[in-house]
Amino acid sequence: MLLSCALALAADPPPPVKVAIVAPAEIVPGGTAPVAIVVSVPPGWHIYWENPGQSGLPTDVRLQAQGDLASAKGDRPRPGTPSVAAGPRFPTPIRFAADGLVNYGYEGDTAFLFDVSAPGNAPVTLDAAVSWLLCRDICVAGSGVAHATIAVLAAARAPDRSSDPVAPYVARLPAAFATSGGTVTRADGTLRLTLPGPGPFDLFPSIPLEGAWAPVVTTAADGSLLVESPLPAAPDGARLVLTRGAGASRQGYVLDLTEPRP
Amino acid sequence: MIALLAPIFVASALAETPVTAAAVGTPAPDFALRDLSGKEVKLSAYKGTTVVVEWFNPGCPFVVYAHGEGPLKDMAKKTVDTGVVWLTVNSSAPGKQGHGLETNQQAVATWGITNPVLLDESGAVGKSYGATTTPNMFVVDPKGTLVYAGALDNAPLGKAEGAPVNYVKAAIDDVAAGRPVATPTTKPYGCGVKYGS
Repeated sequence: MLLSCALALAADPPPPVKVAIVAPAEIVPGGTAPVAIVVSVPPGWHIYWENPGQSGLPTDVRLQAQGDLASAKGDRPRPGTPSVAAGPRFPTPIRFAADGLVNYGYEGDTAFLFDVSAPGNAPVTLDAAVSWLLCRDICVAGSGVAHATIAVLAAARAPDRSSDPVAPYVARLPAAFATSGGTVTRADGTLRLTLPGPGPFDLFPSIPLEGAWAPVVTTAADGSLLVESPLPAAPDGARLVLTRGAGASRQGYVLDLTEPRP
Repeated sequence: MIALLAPIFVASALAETPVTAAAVGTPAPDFALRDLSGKEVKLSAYKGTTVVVEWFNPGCPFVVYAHGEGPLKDMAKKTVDTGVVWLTVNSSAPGKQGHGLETNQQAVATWGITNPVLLDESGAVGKSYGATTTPNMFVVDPKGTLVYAGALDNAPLGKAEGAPVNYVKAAIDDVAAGRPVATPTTKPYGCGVKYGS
């Protein structure tokens, strides 16, 4: 009986995961707007950050935009087609530690952000595809899709920004480290970083922090976080996310490890 | 330095000491474990032969994919045919996914595994290698040196980033040709090894 449980896992109904697109209802022609792909997992389960840590798998989030030129009621579309300009941007992760392994990921509702641009006057059709590894003490792989359409306004009208459904999700992205009140220096082959308190603090590397990468993390007498690390030979896009505070006041900050190049 | 982390980090981060990887280029940790028939299998008995050590949990979707339809479907058999020893180790603790003689016997029957499947329910061998995931793969050269530690390939659940590369096959080929292993470490992917707490 036990054996059939373990091996039949893939055949059991998977825990329900929801995928939804949260987008502004309208966009101005030529405008760009953030769009959130929201993945909701059941309590007790988690999915993974772009660096999942010592096990797991990054959540793979894709968004495609297509312009429905056929419905462009006589307005001459501008050159170009709607496009996904940037993404996904991952929200600030949390840390999981179990069975001696450290992982980075998300519980509950997680929003992955893209910027969508609409060069023409046609509505923008969005197709999202997400694949994930969902884990608690066991793991289940899964995937899902979602679709949405954004209307493109006549250029003369300003969009209604009184209720932006995407704003709460944008707020979950780590802010630029420059806004943290912290300092960063790169000298003598060393990266030195401070972040004023109060803590608690945590840090999340977007690529594995190993070997020569291993940072020395201490607190100063005034409660600031101090991080020192040999300057990593970081691949393009490598970032460090630092968090300060706990609960609702927890805020993430992201530092690009490759800019400026030493 | 780890101790300095303690006062400032969230409690959950400190609950356990992370598993850390065995060093490639150093002697592979020896072990003696029992296979599913109760026979003891000792790594050092295979000195003079290249040995592949595969971490295994039959309930993990990565293992289910790799053995059911992916690269491990026939890789062990083909590799053993070239004179290499392949040892599959399961470090699931009692009560955790993938633990138990019957569970593993069922997996062996389902997937036609012909190499030894070794039970490490205390997790001691897994931790001595720093096995973090299933499948986490290791290659030991004929001198007993650990020459590869990491992922099976660059294609978790069959999805490759770019051209597919089987790191274990490449390492075995390098050893057979008397070359240094070109890619001696990679980041393993998969489910966490179900160690006891």
